[in-house]
Amino acid sequence: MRRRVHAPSVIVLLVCLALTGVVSAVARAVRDDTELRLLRERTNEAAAVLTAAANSVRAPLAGAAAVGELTGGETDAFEAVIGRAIESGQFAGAALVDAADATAVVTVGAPLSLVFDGSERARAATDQSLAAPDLAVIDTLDLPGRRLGYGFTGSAPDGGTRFVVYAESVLPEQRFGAPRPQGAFEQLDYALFLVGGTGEDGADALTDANVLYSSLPALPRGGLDAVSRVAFGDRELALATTTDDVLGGDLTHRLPWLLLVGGVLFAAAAATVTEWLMRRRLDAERLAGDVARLYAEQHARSTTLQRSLVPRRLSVPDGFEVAVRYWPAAAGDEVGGDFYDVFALDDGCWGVTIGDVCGKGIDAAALTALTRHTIRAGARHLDSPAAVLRWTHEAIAADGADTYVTVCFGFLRASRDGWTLDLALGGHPPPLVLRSSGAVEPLGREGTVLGLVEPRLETSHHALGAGDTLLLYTDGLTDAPGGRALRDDEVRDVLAAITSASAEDVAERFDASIRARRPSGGADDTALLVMRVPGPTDTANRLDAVRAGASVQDRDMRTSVGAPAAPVADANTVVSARIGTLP
Amino acid sequence: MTVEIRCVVNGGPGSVMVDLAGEFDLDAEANVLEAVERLFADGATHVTFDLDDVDFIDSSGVRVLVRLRRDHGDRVGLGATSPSVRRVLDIAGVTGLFADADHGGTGES
Repeated sequence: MRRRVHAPSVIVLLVCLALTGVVSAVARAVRDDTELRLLRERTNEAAAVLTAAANSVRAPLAGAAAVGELTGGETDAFEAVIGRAIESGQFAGAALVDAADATAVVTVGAPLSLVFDGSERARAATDQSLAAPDLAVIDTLDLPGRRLGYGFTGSAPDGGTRFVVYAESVLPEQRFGAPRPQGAFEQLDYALFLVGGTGEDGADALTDANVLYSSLPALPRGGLDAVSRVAFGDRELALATTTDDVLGGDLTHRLPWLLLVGGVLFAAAAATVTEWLMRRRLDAERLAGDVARLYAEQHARSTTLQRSLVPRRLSVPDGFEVAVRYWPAAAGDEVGGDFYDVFALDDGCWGVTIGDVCGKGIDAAALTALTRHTIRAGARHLDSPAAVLRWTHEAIAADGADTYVTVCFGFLRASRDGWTLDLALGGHPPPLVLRSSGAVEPLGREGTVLGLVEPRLETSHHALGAGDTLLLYTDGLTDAPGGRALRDDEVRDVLAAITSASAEDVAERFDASIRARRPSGGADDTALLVMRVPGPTDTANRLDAVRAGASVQDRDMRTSVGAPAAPVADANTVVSARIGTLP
Repeated sequence: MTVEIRCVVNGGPGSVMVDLAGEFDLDAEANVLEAVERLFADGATHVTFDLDDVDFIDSSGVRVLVRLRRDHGDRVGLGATSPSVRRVLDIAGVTGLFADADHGGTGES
């Protein structure tokens, strides 16, 4: 699965990269500025060293010139003076030149590049030396031997000048790519030019021709970064430098790059973290959605399960009105254990039941199903409600649930005078009957809850007249903490206030009372089953119809209190015509 | 929805009165059951419930009483009950269950 990168992560990445670029560029500019400043300082330092070097050239030459004039060109004295400078390596060789004819009186040390033999070149060098107020620097770069010449003149006691002292020092072997000396020139690439003074064209320019020597392989096309000029005799030395190394130290040099790399890494990290947080948030939202959906599914399952615990349709006797209400508990995701059922049996007999399993959830639901279907099965085979409940008790106890069920169960039968109800209570609140006269009576005799201990159960017999309303309910209606249920007398009052209402009206009246009492639901599920016995006309018609069925099928199993001998087929047909389904 | 459990030794040795107050419902069921089982484990010979201060009892509370009665016989007795508790116990048909215990000589009224 391709994972999409989210927009905020990309924005964070781009913003961080942009900031990094700016910071890096600024750092780079600051660094370059610092570098240049440092380079200039360093070049000036180097030039100062060069000045000192230039001065050191002058001293031995001045000494030799003075001696030459004083001795009148005595060679031994000249050799003695200049010899020390040659021995020390300051000069390669030197000559005492007769200024009159530009010829060497004596030559000391190595052979000179510029030979003083009266030639034009020798004459020019001699004249330059005579013209110079102090040290003359004589350009011999074009001659073989890589030498630089110096001329110096002294004064004779009579004020005249007869001799020129000429010396040559050795330039580095390579004009370009010379090694860098230690000290002031360290870390610098340099080019040393001999410029100025002679008035020749281009003599003042920093060109290849004027280079004494350079550490660079060639002069850089873009010029050199810093130039410092130093007076050197009658001419000038120009020191031009550029760095090939870091003048400000490693950190200064690398800072822009460090910032760039660090910034890119930071941007990547920030974007990654943003992306991670985005995904976490989306995951959390998805999870919340899942939880909500699971909750909804769970709720739907509970509702479905709850619905499965009560029959979809009740098979009530023809003419009977029936109304049911089910109020789930407020903490509504656990299935409650209340149930009710009305089902047709053979020969004009109906089973009527309501009950309540102690407990909640799936276990209670399973026990509810067990109880309801056991009652249905028992009702087909046993002849008294007490026997049905005992049978049910045994089934529950055998199930091992270690809880109990309260059940109210009765057989409803048509009689000559109306209807009879045989009733047994297994720990269940007694049903109430609202007589057509307006009187309210509880029905049934106290019995024990089913499933835990051997129950005491009794069947009681009741007659129901036309217009009587039967009210079966679970204890949620009358039992709840803190006045959130109706008291028994309130139930009776509600009933007594409605003498000729339909079953639906009665149920609606209780619904309103319960909702007023606990607007947000109760602690316990509550079920209500209202059945209204049809009026006299309905009953008479029905009995006629039953009698007209002729063929009598007595059933030994259910021969209590004057039940009419109703043909099975007819009774079932009547019911099925009304409700469409039959067990 | 809380129940207060107070155990008082009364009468002879090992006879304990368990005095409950408040709402005896699903939330209280485990606590009460555990408290009484511990009394028996600690050597109590007879436990009598005093439910006079119980405002509300639901099926879970009834279930505790019935289970204890079933498991421990007449070593579990029922003393005073509030009218609402008495009504619920009557409807559940378990008052008779405990009536036998009175014959067992606990002397509770």
